[in-house]
Amino acid sequence: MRQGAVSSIAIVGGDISAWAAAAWLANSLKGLDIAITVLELPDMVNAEPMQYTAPETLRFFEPLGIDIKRLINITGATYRLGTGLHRLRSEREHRILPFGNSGTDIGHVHFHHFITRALLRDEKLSLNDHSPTAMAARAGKFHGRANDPSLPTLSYGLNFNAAKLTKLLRDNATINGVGIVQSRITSARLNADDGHIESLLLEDETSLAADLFIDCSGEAALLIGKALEVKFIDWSQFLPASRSIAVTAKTDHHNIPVHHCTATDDGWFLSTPLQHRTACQFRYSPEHVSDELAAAHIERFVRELGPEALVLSNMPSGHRQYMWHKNCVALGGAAGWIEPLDISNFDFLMSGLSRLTSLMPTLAMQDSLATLFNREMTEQLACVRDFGLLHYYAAQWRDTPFWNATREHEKPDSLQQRIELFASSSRICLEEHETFGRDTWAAAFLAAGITPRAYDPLLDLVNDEQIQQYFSNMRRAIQEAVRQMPNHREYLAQLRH
Amino acid sequence: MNQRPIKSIVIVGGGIAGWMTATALASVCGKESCSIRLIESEDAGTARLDEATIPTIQEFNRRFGIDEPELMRATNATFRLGTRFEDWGAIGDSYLHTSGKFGQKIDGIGFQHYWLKQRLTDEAMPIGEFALSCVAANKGRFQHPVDDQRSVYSTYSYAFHLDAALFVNFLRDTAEKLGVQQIDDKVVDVHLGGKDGFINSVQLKSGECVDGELFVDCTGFRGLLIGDTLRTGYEDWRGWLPFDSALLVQTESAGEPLPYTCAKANHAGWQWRVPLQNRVDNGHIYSSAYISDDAATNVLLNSLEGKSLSDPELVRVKPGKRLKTWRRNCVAIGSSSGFVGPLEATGIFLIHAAITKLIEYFPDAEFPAANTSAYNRDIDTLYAGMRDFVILHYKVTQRDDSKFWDYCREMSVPEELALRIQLFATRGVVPHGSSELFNESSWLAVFLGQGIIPEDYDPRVDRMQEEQILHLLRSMREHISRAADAMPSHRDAIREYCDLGAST
Repeated sequence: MRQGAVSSIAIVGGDISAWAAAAWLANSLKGLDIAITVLELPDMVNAEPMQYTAPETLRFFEPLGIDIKRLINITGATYRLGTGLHRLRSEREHRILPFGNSGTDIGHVHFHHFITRALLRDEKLSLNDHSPTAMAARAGKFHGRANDPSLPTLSYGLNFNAAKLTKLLRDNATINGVGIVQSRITSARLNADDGHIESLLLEDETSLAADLFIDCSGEAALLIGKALEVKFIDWSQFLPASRSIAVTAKTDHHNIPVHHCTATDDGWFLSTPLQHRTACQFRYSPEHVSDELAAAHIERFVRELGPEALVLSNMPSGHRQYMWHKNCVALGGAAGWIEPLDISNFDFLMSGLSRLTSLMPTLAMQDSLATLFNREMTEQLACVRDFGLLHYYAAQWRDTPFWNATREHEKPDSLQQRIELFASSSRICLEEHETFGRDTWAAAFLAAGITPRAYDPLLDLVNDEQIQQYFSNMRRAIQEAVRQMPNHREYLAQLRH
Repeated sequence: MNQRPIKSIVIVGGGIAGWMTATALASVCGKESCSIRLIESEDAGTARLDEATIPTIQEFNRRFGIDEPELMRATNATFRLGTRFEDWGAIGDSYLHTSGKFGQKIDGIGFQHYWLKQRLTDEAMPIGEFALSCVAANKGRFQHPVDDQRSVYSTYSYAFHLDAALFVNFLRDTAEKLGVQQIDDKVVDVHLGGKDGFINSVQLKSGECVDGELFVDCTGFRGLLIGDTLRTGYEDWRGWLPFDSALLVQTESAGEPLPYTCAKANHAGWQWRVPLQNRVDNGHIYSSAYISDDAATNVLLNSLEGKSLSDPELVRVKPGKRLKTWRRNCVAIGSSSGFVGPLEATGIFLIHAAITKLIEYFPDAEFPAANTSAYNRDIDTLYAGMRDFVILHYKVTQRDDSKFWDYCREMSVPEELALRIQLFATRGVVPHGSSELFNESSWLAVFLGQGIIPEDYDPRVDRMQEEQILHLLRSMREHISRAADAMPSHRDAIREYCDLGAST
């Protein structure tokens, strides 16, 4: 072992973020003689009982040796082709916001300009008609990469049960040598010189020392917040539905392979189809809706409640000013969290882990590594925040206390600039660390009712007849391909064999 | 609703910036839908500061239909794999920064980390031996790279050295074929519109008035439209890029043309040598605060290798950037928009990048403000990236033989660059954003070449045994050396490529 190398890591928590961190670090630091211990706090529940990931996130499972098919079977997961957005701009509106791309670029002109031009010409064309992923979602179809090479590739993430995946990750971590201590923290001992955490004193009067601490204690932020006093940057003025009540149930949208997000008078109703039932949550602001009222609400949205008890949780959107501070790296809810309208926070957790391993520090805990980590993580989170805020923007026409309050706050500058750019020219400027691609942003702007006043003028230089024909053929080909795809449910059933 | 397209573009100023813009816009817009006129007075000479390109030039050529063998023949071009830097980190040091990768990632971890671990043993190997482009450049060899990612010949890219004056002629011919109209005249006045302050027209010396909807300012440092007329300020970067003067002289070739540019540091600046097929173009860029023009001329003339073919030509330069490079209906391209010096061949690239962005954000006649802001934001990011990469060369040095180097060594650098230097110096980390031009290998080449050796490497490398790393590195080096030996000489490669499609 090299001098100055980290030889012990303590992870504090017990929900999916702690076990994902443990499994990930155990696998990526294998063979380095680093002792990894999870201080498993009792009573830690997953703040998000269901997880719905973006396509990117699936790549994290392979290094853990977790086969996606196995993961789907064990966690009762379903495939997810995007988000179903319901009742955003009117009570009757339903649309799908797919993952991946639509159409193809026309020379150097991005495809969505073709659609915004059509809108300005009152032609009935949509982005989704040019997206195999959207069309498959609408038809309740799915096929995987290896299934049939003649069919177009779909972009997909997964919907899964967080508790079941937590267990899978916990097993994976322990098989890979991660130790477990079950207790609570009474206090943290900091080094008098550099303020680093030396050890944690536990309720059972033992202590846990480590070179590097990973704070996965969720909103409590026991290390980064409580011990190191890094302040919380609150974004709940932008995203006020900080409370949620969750149930499992049967719902109407069960067969569509997406995650659903429905605007209501008092907040958001989210539903995530799993293999055997649908996980649902109602998100609201405690200022406008009491927990009792929320519990009554959620029953109105579902057809038949499952046997499990209602789960209440409270988690304001925002982030720690520094997610990595001294010798402590916060991940999951302890680092930052966004109201999970489109994607759950699992994606953010996994990109934090991937960054941490490529910036693995030595005992010196170089400031520059933390600075880079904090900057990239915060930027990524802000992009996801802005994306979610677009849905707020769309539903804000409702005249109810919840929606009226959301109108009182100005949008972040970054989002304001994105909207103005799209509204004036159909253009989309991507940041360095985006979670969503250009086409997904375009779809979200259009879903929010932002119809651009102009499109890329270079599009008019292309022979219109030719491109109309080209995309008309593409639409037909997509429809035909989708017809040939298996039903999503059948596809899942066949995975079990 | 129909949007109103732009029907008339006026480019003021020729040179590489003006004619590259004209070629690109004409090829994108087509002469039927938009008139493009370029105003250039014949006597506007071409400063030969920008004669080296970087591999992005291939994109320009592909996109706008430029045939590379034809371009090479027309401009006496040679291939360029990169730059050899001499005496930068310390007197006597030299390194190559090429457009090629060092080694390859192993288990998802950057090659430099394995190399750094190996370096701690008795058998240290120079990093340059792990980039095929470096080895080939040293041997004076060249061959076109291939696409097949499995081949070692896919690990690098190339660009050109070209004769700036001939390049302008070549672009002018190309643009005129595409319907660009050249007006040989001088702008004497600029007329602004009423309430929005847009440029309506430019008044020419001949009395003619040329009106347009979009104006491109390619008038060089002066910034006739963007600066003189629209009063857009210029941010001075001399504090970070300490030079203000350049001397240029042409010489006969003293041997085979090299497939790289030479950049040799001296006491108050640095000198370059750009090899062309028929001669070598030499330059000296320096700060007049540290050396007089006469002394600088002597330094240049005393170091020439071939017989000189011209008298030294003096050019004053202004490192910096226009505060906004697009304002109202005027876009500045070329040194009217900014300048970071000829080091690392950013000049032609920045022109190309501005053109690409202008096409990406091509306006309609409404000129939406959000669109202009987005363009400016992208250009600012681009310039800051170029600037920081160039500053790095001046900043990271152990030289203490002159006031000039004392200044450079001690100067404070932009925050972003300071973080990058720290990241590399502590852990060999090179962050890479999606919009950045210079990749990890480029930063590595300069950091290591100028003497910054990281204190630590990625700890995950310790999973691999020392003997295993040694074995791996030896075989990589061996493979690369053999691949370089199999390449033709640079001279033969030029001859063969120039013959492609040649009529005679």
